Amino acid sequence: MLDIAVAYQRFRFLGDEFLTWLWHGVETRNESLCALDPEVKGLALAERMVIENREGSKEKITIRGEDPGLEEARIALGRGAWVSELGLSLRTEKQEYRFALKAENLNLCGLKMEPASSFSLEEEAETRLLDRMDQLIKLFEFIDKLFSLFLSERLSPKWKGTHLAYLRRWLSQEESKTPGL
Amino acid sequence: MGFFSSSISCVRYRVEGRIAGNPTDFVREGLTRNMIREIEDDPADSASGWTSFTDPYQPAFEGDSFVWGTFFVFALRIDRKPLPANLLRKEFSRSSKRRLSETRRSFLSRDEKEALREKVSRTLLARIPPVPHVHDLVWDYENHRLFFFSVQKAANEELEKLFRRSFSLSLIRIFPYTAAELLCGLKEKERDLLAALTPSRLKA
Repeated sequence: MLDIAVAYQRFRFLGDEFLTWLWHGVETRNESLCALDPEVKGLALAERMVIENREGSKEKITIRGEDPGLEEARIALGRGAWVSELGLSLRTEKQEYRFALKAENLNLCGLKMEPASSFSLEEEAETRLLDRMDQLIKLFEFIDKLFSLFLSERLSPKWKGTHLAYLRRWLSQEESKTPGL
Repeated sequence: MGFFSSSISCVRYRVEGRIAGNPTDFVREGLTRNMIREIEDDPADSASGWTSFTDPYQPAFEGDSFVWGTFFVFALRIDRKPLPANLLRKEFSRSSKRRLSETRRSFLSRDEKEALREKVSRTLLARIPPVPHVHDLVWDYENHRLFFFSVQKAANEELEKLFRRSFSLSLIRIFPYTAAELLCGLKEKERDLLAALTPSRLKA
């Protein structure tokens, strides 16, 4: 394995590409992504997305709010930017999770989750902790499955000709739908 | 933000290495040896160390109080004393004048000023109460992973340092490259492909 500090910078692009791939996946093949885990019943974009272009113009766009318009984000991607933070909402039979993933370090931020079952105030803290950890680990396992799928496509010889081409086509189609373009 | 907050953030780590002997005893010893030191009435400007998850202001690691199910659960506490520059400047100015008046001199040498500034700073720090910052963590020992509930850079750096010092084990932070290497079950050929990857271009 490479030196950690070197690898952190050298492969920073991998996180950007993963989140951009994930946005595309959520919009175009949602069911197959959810099927990675039988417990997952829905995956959607949540109220926050950050787009960054670290080359040239160095632009950074933050989009917030329920059901935000993403035209600006798509235009920025067309200019060479990538998704650097992605808000997601994930639904299982028992839970709904809302959180943001950071491209740079895959940190999980602002996770909001309901308790799996209602606990009284007197309930043992240990029971609550173990229940929450169980949920959190399942959530991370799903994120890891998404990342593994992305990586298998990214390392495939078909990445440029097929997967990246899909991404570009999706982007150009969406751009052409945007009024005024 | 603590583990039971309504909104949590988390950094994941891989724990490298194994503990020889009884892990609970070994972890208790490491926690106790590196427990947070109280710095009230002390001129130290900061302190960091382990504390209890349930009672971070009265740390104790007796018995198996930090063992929850199959996890080790405790917290990193970092205490800092905020010393405003303006306050230091004011107290230093007062002390300088007093010293000049007492010694009937018109100036202090550079070394005297430095020593006086240090003395003033230590006196002030001993009077300022430390502000505690508590960061919870869950160590899944059996699965070699650790969940740290803070994304603050300084807290994560302190965690990595203190963890190594306490348990002689390394923490590898999970980020895109380490996730690929450690969590995706890559074969040798795929590792080679990963090492050679270069950024894609979205612009056709």
